Parts: sequence; C-alpha cells; structure tokens
Amino acid sequence: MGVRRQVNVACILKDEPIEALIGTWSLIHVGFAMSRINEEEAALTLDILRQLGEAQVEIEAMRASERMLAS
Amino acid sequence: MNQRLRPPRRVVADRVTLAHGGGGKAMRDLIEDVFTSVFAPPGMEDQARLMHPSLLEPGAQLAFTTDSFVVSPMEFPGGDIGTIAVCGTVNDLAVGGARPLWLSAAFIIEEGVEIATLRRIARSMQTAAEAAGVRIVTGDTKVVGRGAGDGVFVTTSGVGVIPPGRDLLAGKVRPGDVAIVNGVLGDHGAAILAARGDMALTTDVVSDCRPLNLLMEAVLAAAPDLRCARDATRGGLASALNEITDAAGVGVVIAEADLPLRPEVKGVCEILGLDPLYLANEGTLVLFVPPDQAAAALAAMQGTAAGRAACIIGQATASHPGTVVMKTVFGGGRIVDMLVGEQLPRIC
Amino acid sequence: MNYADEFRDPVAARGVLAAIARVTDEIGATREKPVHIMEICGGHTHAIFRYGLDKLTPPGLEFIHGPGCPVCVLPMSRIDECVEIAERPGVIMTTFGDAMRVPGHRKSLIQAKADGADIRMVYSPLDALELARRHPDREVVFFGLGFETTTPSTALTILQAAADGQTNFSVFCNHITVPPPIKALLDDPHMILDGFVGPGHVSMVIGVRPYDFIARDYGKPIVVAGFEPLDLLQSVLMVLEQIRDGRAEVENQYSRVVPDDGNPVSIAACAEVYAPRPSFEWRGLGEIDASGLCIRPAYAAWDAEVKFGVGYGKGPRAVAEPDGCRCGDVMTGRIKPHACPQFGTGCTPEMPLGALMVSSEGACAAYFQYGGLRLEEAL
Repeated sequence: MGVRRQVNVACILKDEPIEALIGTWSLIHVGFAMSRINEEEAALTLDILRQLGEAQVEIEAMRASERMLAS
Repeated sequence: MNQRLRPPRRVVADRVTLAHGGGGKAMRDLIEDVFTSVFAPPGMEDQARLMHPSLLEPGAQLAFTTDSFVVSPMEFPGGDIGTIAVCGTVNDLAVGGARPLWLSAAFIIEEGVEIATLRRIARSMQTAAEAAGVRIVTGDTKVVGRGAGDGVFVTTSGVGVIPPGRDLLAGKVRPGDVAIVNGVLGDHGAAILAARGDMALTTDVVSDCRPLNLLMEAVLAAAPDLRCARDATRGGLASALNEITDAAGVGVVIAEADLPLRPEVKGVCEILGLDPLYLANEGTLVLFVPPDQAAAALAAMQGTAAGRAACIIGQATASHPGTVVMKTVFGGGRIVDMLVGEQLPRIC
Repeated sequence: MNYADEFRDPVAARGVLAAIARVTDEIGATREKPVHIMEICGGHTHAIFRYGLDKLTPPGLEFIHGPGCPVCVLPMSRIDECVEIAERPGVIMTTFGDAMRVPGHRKSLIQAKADGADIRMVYSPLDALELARRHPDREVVFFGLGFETTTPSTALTILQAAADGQTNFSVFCNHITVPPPIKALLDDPHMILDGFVGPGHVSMVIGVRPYDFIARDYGKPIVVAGFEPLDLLQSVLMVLEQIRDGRAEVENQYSRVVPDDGNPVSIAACAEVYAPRPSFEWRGLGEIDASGLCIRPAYAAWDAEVKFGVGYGKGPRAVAEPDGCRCGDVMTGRIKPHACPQFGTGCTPEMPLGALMVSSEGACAAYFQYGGLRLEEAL
C-alpha cells in the first residue's frame, strides 16, 4: 500500500527505541525524516481555518437570505 | 509441395551473441525458437501476404502506423517492452477508429541479453496480441555489440482498417464537446519511475498497459459522432490535450477535482515534485464527444474491461483557443502547457 | 487526518480569502498602491502559481517573488566546476534532478551526460553514499545544493561517510543560507517590501529566531508559512493583519512542523561539518557576505573541492551573466517575469537563458508553466 522508502530518522529520534516512531507522521525531505508533525498544533491550525471557512459560509448564507427578502 | 517435417529449431546459448545476428544458422535458430514458434505467422517468406474483406469495402481506409520502444527497465510491474510494443501500436490504430489487424515486430538486441528475457518478451507480445485480436505476421532481428544498444529495442508497425464513414480528427473538436478518460492517470509513469530504482521508492502501482481497440469499438457504437481520441503516452494527458487544442483551435478546461488518480501515484508525485498530468500512460486515452452523446459514451466505456473507471474530466471551450486550462481544487486556474524536455524531480 | 488534504479544503479557503480581502481593504491598499509581500522560498512561489493563489487574492495585494530558489541562484561558474569534476575519469557525479538543466558556460550537466560523463540523478545524498559503497573502484561525488532545508542531509551523510571510512565519496558543496540574502534585499534602497512570508522548511531546521532581525532592525512583519494553499493564505492574512495593526513580529503559522527553536540534531550536524564562506556569489544578486557554506578542514577528505582541486577562489571565474539576462531584477522583485524582454522569446524552458527559467521553482518557469500573463489574457 502507498509508496515506501527507507529514510534516516536521526533528526527526529529522541531518547526512545526506534519502534516508538512507527505510526507517527513526519515530514520527509531527500531521504531524511526532518520533523515530527505536531498533531495538537495541526488540529489548532485547522480549527482556525475551519472557523474562518464556516464563518464565511454563514456570512454568505445571511447575504443570500437578505437578497431573497429584498427582492 | 512437400514440406519436410523436422524437429523445431532450438537456441543453444544462454545469451545473445553477435552470431545470432549474423544471418546464419544461429540467427535462424533464434528466430524460430524465440519468435516465430510463439507468433506463428501465416507464412515464412520475406514478406507477409495478407487479405481481409473489410479492406475491400468502398470507403474503407487502410490505417498504418509505426512506433519504436526503448523503455528501461525492459521489464517492470504490469508488463515489459513487448507488452507496450504491441499495445502501443494497436492503440495508435485504435484511437484513429481503425480495427487493428496485423503487426510487424523488429528487434535490435544488444549482445549479452539473456535468451530467457527474449522469450519472456516474445510471450508477452503474443499474449497482448491475442488480447487485442491481432497477429504478429512479420519481423526482423539484428544484434549489436555490447554497449551499442540498451538491452532490446523493439519497433512495431501495424496496419488496420478504418470502416467507411469513420473520420476521427482532432480538428473536429468543437466548443462544448465533453472530454472523457477511460481510467486513472499516471500508473505507467509511476511504475517505471519506481522500477528504475534511482529514487529507491517501492510501490504496488503497476503499469496500465493494455489494448484499447475493443473499448474504442464500444464507444463508437454508442457515440457515432465521437470527434477524436488520443492515447496519453509520453508527455501524459497534458500533451494529448495540447495536441488537440492546437489542431482544433479550441480551448479546453479540465477540473483538477475530476482527474482520477490513485493515492499511490499522488504520493509518488508529491515526494518527487512531479505533476501527474505529465506522467506517461500505456492504456489510457482521452476522447472528445458531442455533449448529447457523452452519457452514452461514458456508459459504453464503463461496460468494457479497459474502461471501468472512465470519467468525464472537462470540456472544450471557445475561450482561450489553443490553451488548456485547469481549474484547481481551489477554484483558481492554471495553464497546462506541453511538457518541455523531461520532467525532473524537484528538490525543494 | 493525512495532513495534506485538510490544508487544501476549498471551503476553508473561501473564508481566508474573504478575510484577506477585508484586511487589504482596511489597509487601504489598491491595485495602484498595493501591499508588497515577498514569498522568499521557491517552493512557495511554485505553490502560489500551481493553485492560482495570486489570481484569488485581491488586486491590492502583490506577491514579490524572492530569491529562495537554490538552483536559480547558483552561479554558472559552479556548474562549470561541477561539469569539470564529472568529466574526470572514474567519477560518478550524483545530483538532484532540477540541477541537471542549469546552463553552464560550456554545458549543463545534462549535456555533459549526453557527451559521456557518468552523471546520475539521486533523490537523497544517502543514495549517493550507497553508490560509493557499491562501486569501490569509482569516485562518487554528490552535488550538494540547497538552503538550510537540505544542508543537514548532506552534513549527516558526510558524518556517516566519515564514520564508515567511505573514502571514495565526496561532496561538491554549494549550500547557502537564507538570512543573508534577505538582509541584502532589505538593505537595497530600491526594494519596496511591506512584509514577508517565511520559508517553512528552512525554518523547520533553523527555527524562527534567525528572522528576529527583520522585525527588530527593519520593522517588517514575517510569518513562517507551510506549503499547502491554506497555509499560504493564512500566513498572508497574518502578515496583512500585522501591517494593518502597525506590528512587526516574527510569527509561526507552520507550528505543526516548525519548532520555534528548530531541529537540534540538524543544527549540530551542520555546525560540525560546515563553516561559512567569507562570501559567495549569487546569480543575479552578486556577492553576499557569509551566505555560503564550505566543508570544514576536519572533513576535507569528503570535500570535492579539495579532492579535485577545483572551486571557489581557484581558477578564473567568469561572473558576467549572459547578455540580456534579467534574472537578478526578477529575483529581487523589481520586475515581473513577463516584463523581462527575453521571457518567452530568447528565454524559454526549452532554451533557458537564465536560471529562473530552468528550475521549476524559478518564478519565470512557474509563470511560464502555469500561465501568469497568458492565463490573464485567456480568462
């Protein structure tokens, strides 16, 4: 499944056995895992973005409603 | 005429040598053992002598095409140079609305190639030919010194018949015509990249190499006003579309969200910074039909083995003639140009 | 969550775009007097064009495409030296893909390969080291280029080669760093820049503190951005909000990947292996102090410049750009790609005059490939 490649994990391995990395998401560049993806930060960022998105959907819905009432 | 029955000729060596190209007994044995016993051509003269009643129909046309194949590695997941040599030429005929009949196969073999490899290639070709309903009827073999080739080069020429009344032309595409592909894009290109090994990637993607003539017959039956079809080989879908916009003087708009791609192919493209629109396909075409025949065309394609995943990807338009524009998933637009040179992986 | 698709959500994008339009308005920026935001990194330039973001943002916002394309800024003389090494007998030259087409004075690497040099494309310097293991009778050289995103991989590979005693491996080091050219641009009196979108992957290595001088000494906001379209849009919004509020701070939008302090293992490896060159030539920008990296004497055995006697300071260097090349002006945002008289005529992706057309991250190549002006005419 997917695409497989051997990567070097020197940059992201903390004081832990290498198996601890299995199942984690990281950013890979030219054969090296360079950074662990911080799930909490990712969720926070997405949240802000989604709120902006939902806010926009709300605003558009309100505008559409106003137009309908005005016509 | 008496034909003396004799035992079949067999190659003795493990590897091809210059003697096998010399025109003598070694070459005769190679040709018979590896090629003609597999292809079973109708005669053994220097030329194939052929006839098919469809050639005689008034208004019928002979279609004739040729292609050379130099793929490396010669064998890859989903096929080998033999499979693409047969399918490539069959498809070049099929996209023109021709019913493929006969192929020739010429081989330039580098000294040192294993005979076993040649056997596999020949076998692949015969299997592909049978799947397409064509025969390999004549051919040639040459051997070049080590280093003067790259494994095996294959050239196939093919003839077929375009039935009367069929006239597929890129120039016929009109604004409003619907663009349909028969399946996912980029599998062949991704499979070859992984198989080449320089990127040390492994993936389960296999080449999409397959003949498309049965699919074309099915679409033409359902959508007789099909304008044109192109197979998206080197240069990918982008090149095929650009050829059409050039010839027809129309623009084309495709939607990124509608492009069918395997996640693994997307993954390979992301890692290497490649664009799937430019990856080669060996069993995938794009065709244009008038809008009122699009649903019928789509259904007909989905009813064939090669078209199960067929889907609409865009439309021809009067705007921006000669240019292909893609609506990104984002709503923005970008131009999809012809490929320049080879697509090289990006580092950043 | 696969951390890619979510950051390409078109619905969320509409929200951010609306906010961007609103704040641009609040700033009072218009097409005639726009806000100038520079995206430094070539990967960001590419993403902007690929997703058509410059068409979706308001006319009062203008992107200035910065010099963050390491292939683009590589001087022709370095390509010449690389070709020279590649043409030595027994050498296998390994390189990233996009460096292969950059023109040298004599030839590019791809032309040298056609002429018979053994030049191979690799995805990783580790693959080059593996080649050295498999071919003990050949000299394998890795063409190391890139900003700080890539410098640690080369450094870690050199450390591995040293640990393994792999003597038939060396690196032709052309690594460069981001902060010096930014400072050079900020010091240029002709540059009008209101804010920066900062390089996400460089920052993953060096952290965000190296950009403090931009806010502190020059009073400009910088937001370190990820590479998905939503990341870019959110970062642009954050820069605009700073401008509107009169703030100048370093912010990190890409916090899911960029730790504020960077990656300690990478930083340590680079400090161990590299030293700064007193100055390095940047194509289109000229010489910039302390902007290039060379390999320390302790690792001279893996330094191709030492092994092959080529390189910076040795031999004559032709610095002049080809006639008519305006890469420098495009790279510093003075003109847009299509304003260069050579764009699309004397300089195309097939026959590039300058490096901005060769690398797919160069602004000119992105403009050409994804449409830019032709798209405006078309739509």
